[in-house]
Amino acid sequence: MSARRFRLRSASPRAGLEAPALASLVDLLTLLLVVLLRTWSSEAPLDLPEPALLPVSRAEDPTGPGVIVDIGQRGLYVDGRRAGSVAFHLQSEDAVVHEVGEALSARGGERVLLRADEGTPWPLISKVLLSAQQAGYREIELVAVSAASL
Amino acid sequence: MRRLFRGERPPPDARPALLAVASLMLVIVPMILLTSSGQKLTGIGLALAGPEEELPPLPPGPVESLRVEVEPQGYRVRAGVRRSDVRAQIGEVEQQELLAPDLPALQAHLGRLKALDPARRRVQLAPHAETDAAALVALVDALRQGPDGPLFPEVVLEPAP
Repeated sequence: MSARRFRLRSASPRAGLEAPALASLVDLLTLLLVVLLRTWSSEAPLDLPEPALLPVSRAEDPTGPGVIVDIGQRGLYVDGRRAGSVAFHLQSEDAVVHEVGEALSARGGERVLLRADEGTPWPLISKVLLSAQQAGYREIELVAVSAASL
Repeated sequence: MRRLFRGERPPPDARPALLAVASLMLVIVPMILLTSSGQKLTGIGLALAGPEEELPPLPPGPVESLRVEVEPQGYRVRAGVRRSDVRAQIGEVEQQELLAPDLPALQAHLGRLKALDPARRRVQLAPHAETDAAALVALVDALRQGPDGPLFPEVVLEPAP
């Protein structure tokens, strides 16, 4: 056999990975790192008491600590404890949800984080907001998924 | 003894440094992937206008009142704009009613009002009974930030009737 099919390049002093290939690998990893740092969050994964999809927002303000009120497709929850039924309170003519107000008063905070399913109608959100205000909470935030998420 | 003819030095080998950076990245990227979440949450501050609650006063400006109503067909903007032409009496306010079929049209109306009164930050929003949380968030986003810059960052919600 006159010609070698596979030439070994190890004979060269600069054998192995060439600098241009390494540079492009570093570029790629740097881009990946920047994208990850920009879009990923160190918050704990979302833990909802029942399956729900949060609305998507263009805002990028981070959420802080607070008493969590969840409005799922079936139930209302304060810090994970059920505080009423969605169907009942949608039909109810009360302007507030008393169970939510009582649970919030018992916790005695100043800030409420409201996590509502994206299909929750406004009248129910309004009742929960009024309940939180009447319970003495001054800061109410509606939690949404940032559009910058992956 | 100095050499008369210096031989051309080979260029420095960049591979060890590049390899070190690549190795560092290969450690950092999986660590970030393992310790963080791809879902980024954000908080939208909501203010609900209570029936007996007085909102803080606004700085005086040409737009004296601004309210956006959600209707089944679109949006209605009601603005009280102080008249400034020479025939107008002092403090005379013109009530404007603008209709918008979609969010871009609404933002265009609000952009014109913002240009009239750049210091104004507050808008009152009356959602419809059929407005859901996703539509509410999209609307609040649209009221706060337009395509050409910030609009009205303080969105005050009216309670459902």
